[in-house]
Amino acid sequence: MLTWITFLFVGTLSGVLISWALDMSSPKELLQGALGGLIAGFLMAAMLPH
Amino acid sequence: MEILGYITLSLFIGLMLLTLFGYIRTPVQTVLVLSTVLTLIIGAVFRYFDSGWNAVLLMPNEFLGGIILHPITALLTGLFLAGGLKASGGFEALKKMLNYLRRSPIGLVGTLVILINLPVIASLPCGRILAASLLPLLFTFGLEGGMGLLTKSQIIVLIGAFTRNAMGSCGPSPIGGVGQIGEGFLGSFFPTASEGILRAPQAFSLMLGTAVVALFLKFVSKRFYPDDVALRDVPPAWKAEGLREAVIEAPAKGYLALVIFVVSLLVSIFQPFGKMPVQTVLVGGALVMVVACRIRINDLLDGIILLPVTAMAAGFLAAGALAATGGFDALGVILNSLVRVPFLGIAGMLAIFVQFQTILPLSCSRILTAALVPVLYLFGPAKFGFLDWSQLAVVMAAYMINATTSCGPSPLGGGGMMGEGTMRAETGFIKGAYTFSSMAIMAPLAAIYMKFLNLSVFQPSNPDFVRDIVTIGEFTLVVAVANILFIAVMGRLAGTNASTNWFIQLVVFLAGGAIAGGILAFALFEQNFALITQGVAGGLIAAALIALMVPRTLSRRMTATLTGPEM
Amino acid sequence: MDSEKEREIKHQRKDTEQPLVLPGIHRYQFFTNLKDRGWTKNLDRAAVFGIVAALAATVIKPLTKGNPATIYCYECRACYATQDRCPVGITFQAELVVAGRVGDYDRFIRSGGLKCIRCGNCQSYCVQYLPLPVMFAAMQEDTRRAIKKGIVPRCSLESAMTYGLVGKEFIDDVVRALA
Repeated sequence: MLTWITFLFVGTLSGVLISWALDMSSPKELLQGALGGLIAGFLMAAMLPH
Repeated sequence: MEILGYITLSLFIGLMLLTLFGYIRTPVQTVLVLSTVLTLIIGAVFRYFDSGWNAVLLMPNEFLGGIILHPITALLTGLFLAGGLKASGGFEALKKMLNYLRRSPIGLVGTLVILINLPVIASLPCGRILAASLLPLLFTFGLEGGMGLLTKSQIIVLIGAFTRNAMGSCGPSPIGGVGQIGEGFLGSFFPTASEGILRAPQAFSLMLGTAVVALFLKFVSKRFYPDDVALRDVPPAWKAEGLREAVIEAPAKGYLALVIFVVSLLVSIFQPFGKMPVQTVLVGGALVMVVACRIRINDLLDGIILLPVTAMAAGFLAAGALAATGGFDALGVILNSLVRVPFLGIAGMLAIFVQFQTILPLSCSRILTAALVPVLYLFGPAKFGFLDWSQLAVVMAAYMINATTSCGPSPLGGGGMMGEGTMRAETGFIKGAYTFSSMAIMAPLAAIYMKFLNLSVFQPSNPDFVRDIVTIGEFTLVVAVANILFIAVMGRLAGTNASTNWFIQLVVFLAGGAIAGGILAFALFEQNFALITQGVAGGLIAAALIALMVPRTLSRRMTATLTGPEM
Repeated sequence: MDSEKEREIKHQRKDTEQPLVLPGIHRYQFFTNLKDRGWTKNLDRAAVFGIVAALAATVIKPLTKGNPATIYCYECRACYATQDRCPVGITFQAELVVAGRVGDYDRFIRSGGLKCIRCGNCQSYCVQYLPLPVMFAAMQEDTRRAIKKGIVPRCSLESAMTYGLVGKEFIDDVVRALA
């Protein structure tokens, strides 16, 4: 469970930072980036051994 | 014979430095082969007098052992499949699907974030497989690629971040990844280590490291090397009326090729039909593509590019020659002797050790990892007793992520060169971003993750998960905020003078390295001020060595070639 | 403004003149501009020939030596997890595979190849489940032949005897070679 939380957290953080770096920094775009990162973090955590 | 190792190591490092700083102007393959030949000649002379003619005759066998076939064949099969996708219109189909996806709630940026993180999610044993297949797709987002959705600046960030993520994904791969070297060793104490004790710390730090690379490329690299990416930007007339979207037509066989491609990747990752090499699956997929999508074998062969393959093979040859002549043994002795330096001690030495592969990035991290992980193992209870098992696991996590990401910034045929090629940048463009993220973000975060969460999972002993997870969150935020601040300051101070820029970068690297060294020492020895100071000292030295290798300017020659015939 | 425009025009290049780096993508790189380095052309060709020959040798050697499975090793070293499940205490199994692939007798002996009893415990750790005992057996026989021919350096055999790296199946051959 805690692995999931950490990866969702870091995925979201990473998503926001990447969208900022991509010059897409309106609130909507940042939110979409965070959502993308959340999905990436979820998928990554799903691939890990628990 | 020990002196031979020092001679060949010096020769190798000397030649590499001369190449990196532009004093030797030949392809890196030639320099590496030259290094191999010189090393073998010197080794043969020593061997003849030490062990006789028979020992000399066996030298070719020994240096050939340096060639690691797996990443070479993995790259070739990745290119093979990319060739098939291109010929059958698979990239067009993918573009259409991405168009649908970006109209979904996650939008274009959410789609790009998932794409950037795809390599670490897929965790293939060599990042080049996905990079070879997907870099052409990322390129299409730009003006020259046809979609025209992103500007030059955005394409640089997109490709740079994706390549960073890919060239590190071999670390957490459970199907032959580099991290398994360390997991094998840790298995002697942690019974379930081989199930993936190093995977989570690597994936965790890689995700944040990727984001920091994106920021570094946006704020720093583009300003330090303004003329060194030859991509075209959107014409001013287009800008006025907004980006135009090209109409994309995808043939049915393109979708079919795409399905075959995805199925091949899934089969190679999950291995539902029993264990088989990833290469076999990908070549099988390519052959199915030939039959189902009616493409020619020649189309597959068109996808193969020998430049990165030969550069990587040449790197293996040079490393093999070095190993055969005791060069890596000499390296191990040098690193071990750092413990006796008063201001470094064990914490300082380890702070340098974990960063070593970023200091000397080779074409594939397996080369040095295979030589240095046994040395690291001996620092633990197995021999020297500098560290206990838990501490060894923490160091291993930090070392391994640093090692597996080292093929990214390597100008000697490393995977990052594929990204540079795609964004049409000169070799070395991404080096600052990649080395900074490996050194200042990934190594300390992997250590913290291992210390506060993963060890509790793999060796449950009175864990306090909530406290630990809060600690990880705090450290992640502190490391991220501090380094983003450094990057922002660096970008703000960057001017037109390359030397001043380089000096600013050096200072920022030193600050990042010091924090990384301190955090590593804290993860190992907790609140021991003397050892944390030693860690900071080690981090400073490692950072200085890394920053000194980042090129000041990239391509006076290329720029001159591009700007006029007088060259 | 004009000079800027002129500069922009000069930056335009013909992609087709540039080498491919990925399907559909050409690149610039200073060392790829062959005209700048005429004197090194033949050196570069020789280097590439050397690389290709080395790669070919790495694939062909194990085929001719009857140890083709070694080609498939990822060198991920997951087999190191065998640890004390190896009854004779071999630590670096992957070293034996690589030594078997290229015929590096010294490396094979140094890593304990001659004391392997081919129990197969390490095989369960291999991510591809390669037939490690079969591969080690093939290399053991190849090494035995090399020892008989006197190819293996004396110092390797002496060191193996000193550190107890020779199994009882091979001890006679090694003693005979050292006699």
